[in-house]
Formats: sequence, C-alpha cells, structure tokens
Amino acid sequence: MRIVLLIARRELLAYFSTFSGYVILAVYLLMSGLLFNIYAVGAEAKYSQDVLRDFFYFSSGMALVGAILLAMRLLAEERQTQTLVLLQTAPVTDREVIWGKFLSALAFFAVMIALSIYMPALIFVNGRVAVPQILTGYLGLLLLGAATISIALLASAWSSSQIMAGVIGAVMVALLTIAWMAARITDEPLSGLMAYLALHNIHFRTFSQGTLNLRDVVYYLGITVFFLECAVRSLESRLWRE
Amino acid sequence: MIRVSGLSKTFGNRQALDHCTFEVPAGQIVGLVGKNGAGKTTALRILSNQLLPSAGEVWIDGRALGAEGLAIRGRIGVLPETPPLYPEMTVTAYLRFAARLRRVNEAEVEPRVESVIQRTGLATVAQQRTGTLARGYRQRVGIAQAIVHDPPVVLLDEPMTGLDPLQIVQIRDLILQLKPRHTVLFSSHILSEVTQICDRVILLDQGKVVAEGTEEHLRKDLLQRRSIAVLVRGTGEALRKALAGLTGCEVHPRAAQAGDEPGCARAEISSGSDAREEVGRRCVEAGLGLLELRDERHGLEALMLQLLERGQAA
Repeated sequence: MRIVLLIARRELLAYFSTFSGYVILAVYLLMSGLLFNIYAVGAEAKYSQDVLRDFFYFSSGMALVGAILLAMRLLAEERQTQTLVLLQTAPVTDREVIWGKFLSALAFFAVMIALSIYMPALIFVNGRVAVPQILTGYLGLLLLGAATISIALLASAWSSSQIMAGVIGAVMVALLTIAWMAARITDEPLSGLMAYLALHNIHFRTFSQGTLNLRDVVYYLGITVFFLECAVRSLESRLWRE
Repeated sequence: MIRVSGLSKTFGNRQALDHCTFEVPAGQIVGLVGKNGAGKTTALRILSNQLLPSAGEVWIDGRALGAEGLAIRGRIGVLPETPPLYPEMTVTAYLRFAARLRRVNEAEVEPRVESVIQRTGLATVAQQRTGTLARGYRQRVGIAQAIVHDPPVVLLDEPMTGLDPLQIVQIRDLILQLKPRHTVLFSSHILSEVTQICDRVILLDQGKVVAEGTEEHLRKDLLQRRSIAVLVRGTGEALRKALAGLTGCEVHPRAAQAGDEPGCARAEISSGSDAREEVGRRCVEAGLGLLELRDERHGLEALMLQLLERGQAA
C-alpha cells in the first residue's frame, strides 16, 4: 500500500504542477456551470429536486469527458517520455503501478467535482433540497468517474500516444454508455445484459434522483476493478513484447 | 555476481540474442560492446527484468531471474539509454521518490539522497527541476537514481551517448567511482570508450558473444585466432572422427544453415595457425565430400577493427 500511495502522490503532484491539470479543471467547471444555468436552472419554474437531478445529469456527461482526459496520460505519457522503465525496474508490481495511477486520477477527479458544489448550494437560495440527495448524487459522480478512469487507464496502457489513448478510451466509454440503445434492438437475454452493462443509463439515474441502490454501487465497483485488472494484465504483457 | 547461460531472445523472425553465455564477477566493471542492433539493449533489458528471455538462464547476486524477479529488481540499479526523469520534479524530490520506490527505509532516505547527490556531483543543481537540466547533468541524475538504494549490481545502457567530450570524461570518472562497491555492466558501441574503464569486455555481434576478456586479450585473440568453417557431405559423427586429434585445434560441431543440402554436416575449427590444408586432407582421406572450407578470421578482425575505428572517429 505504501508504494501505491507513493506512486499516487507523485502523479497527483504532477497534475497540480502542470498546465494540463488546471486546464481540465477549468474547462470542467466552466462547462458544468454553463449547463447548470442553461438547462438545469433554465427559464421555467422547476421543483428544486428536479433542478438538482438535471444538474447531476449534465455534470455526469462532463465528468465522463473529464475522467477520460485525466486518465489518458497516465501510462501513455510515461511511455512517451520513457519514464515507465523507472517503475518497471523497481521492486514494484504492475498492480501497484496501476492502482497508484488510478488513485491519483480519482483523487484529482474528486477535487474537480467537489469544486462544483457551489452549484447545488445555489439551489438553497430560492428552494430547498435534501442534503442526502446531494451527497448521493456526488457519490454517483465519483463512482461513474472511477469506472471511466479505469476504462481510459486501460486504453492508456495500450498506447504510447496520449491522443490515441484518449480516442480509444472515449470510444470504449461511448460504446459502454450507449449499450442501452443496443438493448432496445436485441432480444433477451442479450437485451437484459446490454441494459445492465450500460455505463450511465439505469445505474446513474438512481443516484441523480437521490436513491442509493446497492446494485448500482456494485456495478460501478465491478466495472472499475475489471478494467483495472485488464490494465494490469496489459502492463504485464510487455515482458513478451519488443 | 551476474551469470548468464544460453540466453536467447527472439522477436518474431528476428533473433536478437543467440545463446549468450557470460559472467560478470563481483566488483568489476564490464563493458558490453557491439554494433547497433547487436543485442546489447535486449540483454540489459532481460537482466533488468523488463523482458522475458525466449531461452536461457540468468542469475544475479545468486538469485535466478524469473522465479525471484521482483527480489532481483531491488538488488539492481538501471540507467536506460534515456534517463527516466520526471521533468516537473526537482533533483532532490526525484531521488527521494526513486529511493522510496526501491523500498529504502524511510529513516535512510534523506541520508542516501544526500550521499548520492555528493557522489554524483549534483549539489549545485539539487533544487533545480530535472526538465531544465543540461544533458550531462540529466545523465548524472540517471546514474544517481540507479545507485540511490546502494544496489550490488548496476546496469547502464549507453551511458555516454550524446555527451560532449568533457561530459564523457566526467561520466567515465563517475562510473569508475562505482567500483568496487557496485558491480557494473554497461553497454556501448564504442570500444575505446569501454576499454578505458572496464576490467573486461564482452563483444556482441548479431546477438552472439563473439569474444570476451581484457582489452589486451581481445586484441591478441581477435587478431591472431583463426576460425575455419567446414561443410562436408557426410554425417556429423564421421566429420568429428576425421578431425579428432588435430594439433592445437578445437572442433565445434555446428547446426546446418539455410541452403545446406540434406546429408551434410558442418563444423567450426578454432586454431592459432592456418589449419585449412590439414582439415581438407583429413576430410578427403575419411571419404567425406568437401563442399566448403572457409577461413573466417577476417570476419572477427573486421568486427574488431570496425569498433576500434568507430572509437577513433568519435
């Protein structure tokens, strides 16, 4: 665990000491703020809980993009700058490398979404919402972010180009997000499976409505662990490659 | 300290290493020399546990690579061709990170970092970001991270590439200081560069160890040794019998090469003098069809001279 935290700490400092981390943070907050004002608050009168639900819906879209941008560099950049060899020649397992990288991106992601708290707080000016609904929504965002980071981290393990890792990660996340559409045009049991696998649709909706469903928590944790394990295997496979 | 036996590595159809066998005794500096593509980096990547061999065995500090790969990583320090530096970190922060990554006890991290900064002459740039350092200093930081955990074995891949003459002298002195505390194996494609600081040299060509020893021994051996390749129509056993007892010669059976006809056998004869006449006579007397008798001395000579010439030009 000490090594995982060591790697995570170095990565986290790298986010805060480079321009790209702040750019991702600023763009996320700007876009979330705009979407909050235009769509969530809007011009028509709404119940406060509907405003909050819409806020989490639009924030989740931006969170997907932010998580991909944060994770795409994690291993691809190390390959590009040839620093991965430092980790690979140290007495460190590939699992420790992957989890360290993952935790750093997740910590930065948590800071990023936490900075958007002023938006749901603004609802209190003209309305009332339950604090547990806000907390549940943020937990949903964090779990969605963890799953997305793990997918993009796998893409980053496959590529030595950050752009390519970002594109591959985005395609994988998009395919998993629109799996519910495929569920509509397929028969059971495939349609049930597709609907269950969809990254956003049924699983995130419950969080945005303030409902904490254990099934959805398990889904996001399962997706996260699965893709992180795939990333570990991908990193291990370097031993056989040129 | 390092023992390599029958090490081979194949990438698709390309044989990067071909049954390499060599040893590096404790406390010595040994150079791995060869042209570009000779297999030096592949050998160092296998030794540093970044790549699995296709065949063969490696022991480092008495531990077998593979079974104890992770434990071995803690016993070696590695400087790849490009120093693995994080540009946003200061030299001190980077070395602290490298020490902790190599599982140095927390109480020992600061003294080790301080000591390695002094040893590698980095005191003046200790608080500077590694991304802003000149090439020579980057190389020093690369060496510092390789020795910060005080490993018994240090592997350096082309540590002097891209440096100016003054920097080469400084890095050469730095490598010399690693002895005898560390056993050093480093690669280079410039023989003269290696012979100035190495106790021994291992010469690699096309993935094979073609010679090894001190510079003096190599010069004598490569320039005097003759190697004769013979190809006959007949069995390997018949060829071995025909050549048995050749004075001052060593006979090594060789595998058939692409294009050899079926029912043929090959051998290589090492000798201090020209034994072609005697080899040819014995083959004919044994009733073997002599298809090829070739003096390969010039192949080794050319390799050595090519490496020497490159060194003189650099």
